[in-house]
Amino acid sequence: MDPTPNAEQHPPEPPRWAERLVAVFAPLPDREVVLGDFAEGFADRALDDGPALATRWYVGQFVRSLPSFLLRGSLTRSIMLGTYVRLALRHIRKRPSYSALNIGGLAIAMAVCLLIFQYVAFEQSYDRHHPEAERLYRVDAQRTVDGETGQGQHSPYALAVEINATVPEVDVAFRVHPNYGPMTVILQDEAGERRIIREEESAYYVDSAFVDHFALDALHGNLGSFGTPGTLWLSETLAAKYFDMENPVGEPLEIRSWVRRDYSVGGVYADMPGNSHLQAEMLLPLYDLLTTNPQYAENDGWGWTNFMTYASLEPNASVAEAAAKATDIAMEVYGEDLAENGTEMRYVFLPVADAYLTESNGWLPTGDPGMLRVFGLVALFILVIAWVNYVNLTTARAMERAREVGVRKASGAFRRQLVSQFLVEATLVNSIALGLAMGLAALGLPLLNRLAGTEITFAIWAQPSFWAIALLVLVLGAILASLYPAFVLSSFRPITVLKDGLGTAFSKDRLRRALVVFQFAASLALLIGTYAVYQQVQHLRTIDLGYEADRLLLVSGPSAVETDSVNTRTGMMQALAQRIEQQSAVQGVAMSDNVPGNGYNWGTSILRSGAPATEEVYATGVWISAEFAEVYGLTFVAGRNFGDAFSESDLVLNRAAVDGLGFESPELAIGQVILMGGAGSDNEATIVGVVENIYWASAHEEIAPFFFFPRHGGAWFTLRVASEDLGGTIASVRASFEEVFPGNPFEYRFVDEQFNQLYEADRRFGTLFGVFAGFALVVACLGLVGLAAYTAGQRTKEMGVRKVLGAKPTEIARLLFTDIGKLVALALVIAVPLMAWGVGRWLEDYAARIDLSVGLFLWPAIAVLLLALGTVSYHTVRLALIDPARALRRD
Amino acid sequence: METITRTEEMLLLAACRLGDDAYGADIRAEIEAVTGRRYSVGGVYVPLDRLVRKGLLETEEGAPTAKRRGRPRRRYRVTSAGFAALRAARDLHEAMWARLPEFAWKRLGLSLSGLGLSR
Repeated sequence: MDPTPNAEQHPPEPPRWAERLVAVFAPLPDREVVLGDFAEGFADRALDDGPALATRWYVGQFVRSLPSFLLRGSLTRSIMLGTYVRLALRHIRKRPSYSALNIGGLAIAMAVCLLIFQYVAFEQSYDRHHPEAERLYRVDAQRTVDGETGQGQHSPYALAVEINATVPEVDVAFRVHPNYGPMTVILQDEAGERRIIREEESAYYVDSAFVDHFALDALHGNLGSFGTPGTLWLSETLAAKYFDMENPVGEPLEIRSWVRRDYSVGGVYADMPGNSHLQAEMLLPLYDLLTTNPQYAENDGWGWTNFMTYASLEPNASVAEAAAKATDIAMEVYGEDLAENGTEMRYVFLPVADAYLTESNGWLPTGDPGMLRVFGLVALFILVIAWVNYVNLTTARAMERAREVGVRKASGAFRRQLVSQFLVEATLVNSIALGLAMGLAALGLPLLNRLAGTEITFAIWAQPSFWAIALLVLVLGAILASLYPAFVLSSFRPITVLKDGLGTAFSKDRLRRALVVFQFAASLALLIGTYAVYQQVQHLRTIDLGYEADRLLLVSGPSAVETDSVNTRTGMMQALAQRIEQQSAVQGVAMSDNVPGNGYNWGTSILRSGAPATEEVYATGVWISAEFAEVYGLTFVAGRNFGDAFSESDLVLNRAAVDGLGFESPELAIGQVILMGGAGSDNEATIVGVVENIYWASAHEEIAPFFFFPRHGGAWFTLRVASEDLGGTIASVRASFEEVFPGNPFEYRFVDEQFNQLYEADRRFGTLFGVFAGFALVVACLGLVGLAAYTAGQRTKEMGVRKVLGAKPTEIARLLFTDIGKLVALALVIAVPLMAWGVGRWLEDYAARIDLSVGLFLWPAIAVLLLALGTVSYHTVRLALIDPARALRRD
Repeated sequence: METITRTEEMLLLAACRLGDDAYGADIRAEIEAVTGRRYSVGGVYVPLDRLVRKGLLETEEGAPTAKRRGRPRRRYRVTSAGFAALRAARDLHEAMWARLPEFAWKRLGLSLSGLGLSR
């Protein structure tokens, strides 16, 4: 566009908002000149390139000029700023105890927040390190029965095969089969001695595509060769545990578990990072598993759902489309059965990065997003409590500073300058606190790792997001914490303040009281939460499992025994059981396939013979020896135990199973035939007994339908032992075990320990919550100490007058205590209903839960009240006992 | 006397060359044209202001124009101290260059005559 003649008189004008932007930021002495330069440049460009480009230039130039605006602004204002900083430092130094309270409280609060932030960031960082993690999904099955939807990671063997063949959206799908339960590893040492290891760390059988899509760092060996039958890969840790050499590639070892064969080490990979939802310590080729477990090929590979299927999508492929196609495949196979049962099923593609924080992880390590939200809220509470302290202490000090402000105003200070001064002071205090907090957080990190059971090693300071948040906290803190005091103080009318002191100018401390109420309410809420979590965890740990768990000693059966036709494994186990039973401290020995609290169980659908398919019930079960009922103290409500001579189709159910199957009473169930495997199964069993419900798994869940089948032998011994001299008992059991099964590792634990491990996550949550709540209380109390001191100072004269008029010290103390008591009472009214709701919601996740009793709220309330009274008591007592003459002598 | 930096020398020379037209925006344009260094509209005033405070430049208000929407312009003028500083900078340069031995010239790929310097 050519410049028009008119352009000289009416050149294009920059947008008003843009001019305002520059006007706000440009430093005062140059403002007009700079604005002129901007306008001129804009006009030139608008004439040449049009207004849109000119506006872009304008904004671009503004952004580029911003640093120099700020720099130059601070240069010209540096004298002012210097004065503010000097004044602020002087105030900080003048009242060291007050400043220490202020800065200390803020620093503690910020440190706790940083640690919480670090924890939350760690929990959210799971599985983001895999190559192309954003395209990696786990194929989960979602089932809806009677309107209830459940999701699980288990899928059949054939799913991945079919997906690879028919779903174009999927680049590659691959299977992962966990080694459910421990495995036996047999090594030959140099002297030719066999070393038998019972390996509890997780091993996985995987398709070779696994190693391309999960981040693995090969230390020895070539990952490209993974999948060769008869070779396995070890994590660094396991390799070091098994082999006393730098590079064990090619070393032989024997595995007895889902596969039973000789292996050689194909390679060693660096331990997977802690934030990975699959913690594979050993990787074996899936091929080996399939060839040794022919049952997986039954029903064309759709029968067993022991696998997990992962899929890497093509770039830009539609996830919904892929999931719909996978569901179609499954419906072709399962459609009829599902329709008969009234079940809906579909496959969903769950991003692997989200896997850790979903509930559908089953027995895999699972985070709790609700818990992270709670912790985030706690962090916010603590921070706000600390800011409230700052506001309270600063306004409380208005008394002293009112005069300074009055003088400054009288001598011509602008209100803006006064506000700036308070801002500078708050920024300074917040910065010092933040610096201290970072140090404290670094010191506290090992503690956090221990309490939370995490392995946070990454330095959060290295992350840009941390600095963004730190800056935000700093700026927010400085502004929030200084604005109110700044405006309150700077709005004092100089004449009033100088003449009358603060009495009239600052009589309304309603906001301050409201803030204190908030602090107490927040502290109380956290304390109630802590107490509730503690009570619930105690409840879980002490719940009556239905048997005396602390006297049941579990001993794992032999991992590897040499057997022949005479010496069967079962025979040898029975022989050992008899030997152990001879000991006076052992009151009974039972054998079983599995033991309570051990995670997974064998499960299947069961159905009354002749009943419609819709009455199917899913039940888990275990094979037990005849002694089991006596050792565990099972109560038979109907029927009988298995005898020493039993039929393999004898079945004992728990009460929940009998109810679930629709029997009218346990007695009526005896002798009835049950289809194991559900409708269409020809696997019949006859109910011979019904036992009272016992907790076999975590008390998070309701007691589910459960069945017992008889057998001899098993994978575990359970010993009922006398409670005295447990060490001696264990030692003699070990001696017998090692005599019968030489070379086998002797592993034992008590059932109650096993159960406590199931509640480990709850306990950790409780501990973390308690620690954070404790810090919140400390910070709130720090604030209260300062506030009490200043209130006391303010009311000295008043108390003096009261004393002169005949008030007794007790009356004065009561007056002061009533004051704080009222605030706590108000906090109680706010916090209790909120927490009753919150705790109630949290408890919904537990089948066995505590009741919301009065005590749950009463004790924390009393604790907060006592803490508050205790905190202010020093100053209260001092005031109550004050000599009126001295109190009135001031001024 | 205190030596000036390269940047300061550049700015002083630009102001010198522009004479009566040495407004902030023009100095910016001159520097960009000669050296390629691009100051932002606001950024150029930072070093200019420093030179003013050092007494090497002085300012005077220029007449507003329509394009500037009636806002003043600021003209920079090199003070005598500024000229002295420029002279000193040049003298220093020449003195340093003059002390280079012949092989160094060759290394630099320069010839003595090419620079028109006298030894």
